[in-house]
Amino acid sequence: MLGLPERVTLKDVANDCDCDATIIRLDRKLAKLAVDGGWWKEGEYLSLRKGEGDKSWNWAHSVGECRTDSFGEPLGIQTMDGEVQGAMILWTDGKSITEAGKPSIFVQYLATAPWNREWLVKPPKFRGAGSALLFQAVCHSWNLGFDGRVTLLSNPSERTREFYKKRSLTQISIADDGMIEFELEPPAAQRWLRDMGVLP
Amino acid sequence: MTIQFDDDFAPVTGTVDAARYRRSGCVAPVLSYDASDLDRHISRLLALHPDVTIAFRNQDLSQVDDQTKLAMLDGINELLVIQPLTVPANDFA
Repeated sequence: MLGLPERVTLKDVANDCDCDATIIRLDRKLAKLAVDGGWWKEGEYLSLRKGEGDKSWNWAHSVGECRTDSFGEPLGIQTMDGEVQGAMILWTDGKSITEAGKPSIFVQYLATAPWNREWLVKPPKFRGAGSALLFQAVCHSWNLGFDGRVTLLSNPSERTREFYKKRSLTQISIADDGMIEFELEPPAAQRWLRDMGVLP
Repeated sequence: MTIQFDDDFAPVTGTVDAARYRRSGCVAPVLSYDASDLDRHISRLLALHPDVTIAFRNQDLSQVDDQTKLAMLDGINELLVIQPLTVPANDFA
């Protein structure tokens, strides 16, 4: 992808080593086969799905929406074996919720494969897929002139909330359904970009 | 060299209500789904920053060679004061 980090390294937890992975643009076929079908297979993780925040998500459908609206960007992170370790849908025409009139990247969906969720599988297969995708959103924001600003809604999971706070995302408000609005503001985004060595 | 990620962040986060968090009034560029990354990026920049106007006689990016498009992108980045990211070489070697 243009001016964006494509190749990343995840942590292979079981084998205690690094694993190369690629940031890809999801198409409907891959979303249907590798995410909707591949993540929740009968006899493996399907029975665990009903307790998960993404139990009703249909990635193939969401990727389809991006086909008709070119502001949408469906991304995935894929390991060499073809498995998709995480997926994200972002909108490049997002708006800031902290500063009126400022543009932002809006992350609509972000999830890792069930085998990477520590609360479902111990030990998880890979670590880092979620961060790699979120960082990709920050890079998109920077390259589009939004200063790295990213807006998202977090499910009310303590673990997720703690991560966003650790990454200096600002908690804005809690909606009636318990969802929490977060925004990564430019100073924190630029710190992250510098820490990862992509911004001098 | 690649960028390493190894923290235990395993998100399941999102909402079906995207419209509330998107700008109204932005007109999405007409692009085929398999448009090149360069075409998609330039089209989005122009759509998302409508105050940027460039002299561009040919309205069809697919008719312009990559070198010209890259020069156009440099010009847009300069106008918008966007410092391109320094990404590691995109190979595993």
